[in-house]
Amino acid sequence: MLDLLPQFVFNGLLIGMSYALVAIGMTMIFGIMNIANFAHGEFYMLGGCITYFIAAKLNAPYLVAVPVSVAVVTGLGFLLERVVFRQLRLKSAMSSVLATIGLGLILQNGALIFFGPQPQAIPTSFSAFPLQLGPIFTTEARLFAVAVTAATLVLMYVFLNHTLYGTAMRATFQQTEAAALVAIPIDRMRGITFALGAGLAALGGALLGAIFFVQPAMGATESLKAFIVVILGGLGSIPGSIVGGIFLGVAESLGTVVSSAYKDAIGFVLVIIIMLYRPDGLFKKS
Amino acid sequence: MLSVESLSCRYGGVVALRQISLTIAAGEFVALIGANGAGKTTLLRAISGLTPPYEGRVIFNGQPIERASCAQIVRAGIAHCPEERKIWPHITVQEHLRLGAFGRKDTKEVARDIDRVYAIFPKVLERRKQVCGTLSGGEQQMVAIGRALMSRPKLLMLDEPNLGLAPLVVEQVIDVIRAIHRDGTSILMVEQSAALALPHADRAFVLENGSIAKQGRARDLLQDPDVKRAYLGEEKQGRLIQDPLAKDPLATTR
Repeated sequence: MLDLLPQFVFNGLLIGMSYALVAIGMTMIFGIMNIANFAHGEFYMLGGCITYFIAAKLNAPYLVAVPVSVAVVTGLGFLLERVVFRQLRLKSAMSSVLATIGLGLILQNGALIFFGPQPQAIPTSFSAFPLQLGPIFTTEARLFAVAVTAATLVLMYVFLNHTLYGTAMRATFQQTEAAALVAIPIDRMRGITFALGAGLAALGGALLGAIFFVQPAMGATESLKAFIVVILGGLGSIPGSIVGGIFLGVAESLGTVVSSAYKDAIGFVLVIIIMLYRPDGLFKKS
Repeated sequence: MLSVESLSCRYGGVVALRQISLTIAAGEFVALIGANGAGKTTLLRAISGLTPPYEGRVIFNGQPIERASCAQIVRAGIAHCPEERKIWPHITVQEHLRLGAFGRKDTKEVARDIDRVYAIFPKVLERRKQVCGTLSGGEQQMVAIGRALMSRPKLLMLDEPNLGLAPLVVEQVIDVIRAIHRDGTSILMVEQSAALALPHADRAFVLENGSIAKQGRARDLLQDPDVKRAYLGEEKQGRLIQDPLAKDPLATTR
């Protein structure tokens, strides 16, 4: 049993990193717009479904389909912020939250009409043969997903902490009015944040879609998972989302050792425990 | 330089400012005093674009700015150092100053201005790699003023820069504001305590219930019996709480 441990941790890492991709966007949107975006998992779904469409229906290579689908969803996020959320900004926060729920339904059912309900596999040129790395069995697609996700998380970190624009974005999360008073364009920051968050989620869907299946219903679970991760990591904390995502992924993976039927319950149990003892999340600086 | 004409502001249906008119000349130090809720903060917010006015005009160097965005107003030359400092808790001192110049394109000059701010506030230089949430209240206030200076304002608006600071720190902050004024920046300072603001100002306005109740030369207002009673705390019925331990009997604590 113990010799399988590295395998479970690796599997958990893969899933956890995709949770992190979705959760970072969710937590950033929460931080800058004060909206719990219940439609966020749908960007993950769209990332997967559009990648499938481009690779399977338009016969483009997977490595082309991924960036194109991420770009499409990023653009969609930008547009949605402009058309929907900017108009609702002066209304109560509840109208924005309700709008995200409605938006989620529209995106999910729109995808259902366009892509159909059946699970699809994204065609890739990766070899289906398992690779052995020490005690871990994996595939090229999985290694690719882990590498791209890790690189993206590092890039996000560098952007947010070591560029003027990223620092301005963090400033806008932390104290929006003070940011406005130093000529940071708040509206543009919101648009970019929403678009970036949507794009990151789409990347998660495009990468995991090549390993598992894609289908229009997959976004809803992802929203819930991202929500758990955001709570685990502390609302608005980006490093918290990364660590929280990996933590949840590994915990779920190790949980399957005990019972795979209860895999999805593990996250919720963790959240209840953390809410009881660390109500600000695991990593929130007070 | 700045002229506010019949400015009114509302929050929902509540009128916060009623037909305010005032002017500030280039190089002037103007104090705005009044009790809590008199509308002092709202006036600054209306000028800097945070709370667009309901009616009236704001003219800065000949340009109407009452409908301009915060960013446009900062670039026009008005900096607003907001109440309660509003620093970013997880961002370093150095980054605060750099972000203060976000609207500027002259990167080399920005670096020079950061050094100038450190020269004014040597204490925060020691803390430049520290995130601002870990600083003392006085240090945070200095970072907030430094951040506002980084946009190279022609008019610096300060909202109760002495709030919650120890008397000794209050003195330092006032000294710095006077130095900034000496260097040619116009100052509009909001204060609850007339004793803190009036001795340094050229002119002053007293705001009561959203309207200007009194205005004039600061030194005249210091002698005004109504101002003395209401804002100097002489008869202990003003809003000031005397601190028996303070070195300066007029310094206030809250």
